[in-house]
Amino acid sequence: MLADEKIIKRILQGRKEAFRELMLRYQDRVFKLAYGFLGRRDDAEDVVQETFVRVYRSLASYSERGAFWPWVRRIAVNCCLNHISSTRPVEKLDESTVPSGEEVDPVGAEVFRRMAIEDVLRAMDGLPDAYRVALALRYIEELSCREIADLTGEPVETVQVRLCRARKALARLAVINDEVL
Amino acid sequence: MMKCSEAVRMLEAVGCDRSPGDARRLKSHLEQCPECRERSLACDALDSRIAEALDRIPDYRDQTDAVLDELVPYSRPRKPALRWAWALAACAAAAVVVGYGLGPRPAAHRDAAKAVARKQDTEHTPAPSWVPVPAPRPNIHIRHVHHRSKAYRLPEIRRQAFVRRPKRFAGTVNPIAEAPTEIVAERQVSTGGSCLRLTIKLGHMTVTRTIHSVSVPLQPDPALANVERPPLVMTVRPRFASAIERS
Repeated sequence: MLADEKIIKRILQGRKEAFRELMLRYQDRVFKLAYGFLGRRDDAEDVVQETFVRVYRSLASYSERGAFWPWVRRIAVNCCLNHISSTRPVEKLDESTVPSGEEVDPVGAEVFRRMAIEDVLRAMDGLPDAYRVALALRYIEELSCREIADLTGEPVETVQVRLCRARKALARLAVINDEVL
Repeated sequence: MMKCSEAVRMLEAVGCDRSPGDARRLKSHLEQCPECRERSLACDALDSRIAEALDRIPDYRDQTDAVLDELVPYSRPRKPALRWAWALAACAAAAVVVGYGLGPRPAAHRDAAKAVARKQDTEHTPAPSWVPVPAPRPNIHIRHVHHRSKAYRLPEIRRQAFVRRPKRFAGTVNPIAEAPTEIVAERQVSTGGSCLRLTIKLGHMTVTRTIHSVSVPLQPDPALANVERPPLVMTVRPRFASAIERS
């Protein structure tokens, strides 16, 4: 398999078709990330297209040897954030209404294991976009708070708080579901 | 000995780097405190549940063709050696021409050369005011049809839809980009008409995009039949949000 840098060199020599290989390598990851951010397939597909068009147009300025995926990821995150800021007409839950955590009693691990995936996804849908972004970067890309802060341009403390509150919101939902069942 | 509150705070700080000392203290606390141990297990279970949920993505449609269609190949860089060769050839040609011009020439030759020069002067055509450009990119995003007035119905908006000349064609003539769009098919993908899947024909290309936030009723509203409405212009910008503007 050709290294990313060799493919990029070919593309810059005018062989546009070589870009297909790069897309095939990374489009799944970009889609997964975009879907985690946006929660809608159509939107995520649009972002994938947007991301790769930008990647292609910026290839001449790519200079981070051996770190192609982080570079693509940065572009993808920017595209997702632009998409969120420009296309979200639906009013989401206000950040201040997300539980800060003290009201969640400690619960056993079994409660979370019983929680249906669909319920988790539904609960994530109700979270503010910024919380979804933090969750997606943490759990899909396994980034640390500092790395997430670098990518999104927000303070580390803000990212920490969002992650913590998002988890607590999900934990509270698990407890409520468990009580209902 | 670490306090429970401190242990809880560390357990909740997901994604934060712990110093080796903190990690050691937390570990020893968890060994001694069954309540915090249970909390730690619960945190792990929640984390794995979230990760599982985010890992469950729907089928992904390959986008490579759509993206490649709208990319312009990078121009092949010229080799420096070749440039030098051209420069040398040009110098040689110039030397020959100068040498020929300095040498003795018959009068008939001079006259013929002057005639050719005059002809070239008169036949010189100015550069065209426009440059032929490739067809607009087929990947057109139509979204955010913001529409404040309820006086419009979606079919009317569609009828009046046309494609504005993209920015990059500014100053050039691009008949395809100015051609009216033709809505080939539509599919309602959400209730209440807030989200539509439209297939639009643009020149020889057909693109399908989703329109969100259409706040107009899908069915003709008889109550609006006699309402006087200003004309609408739907602007479809490649890769950018479109908007409906009153003109």
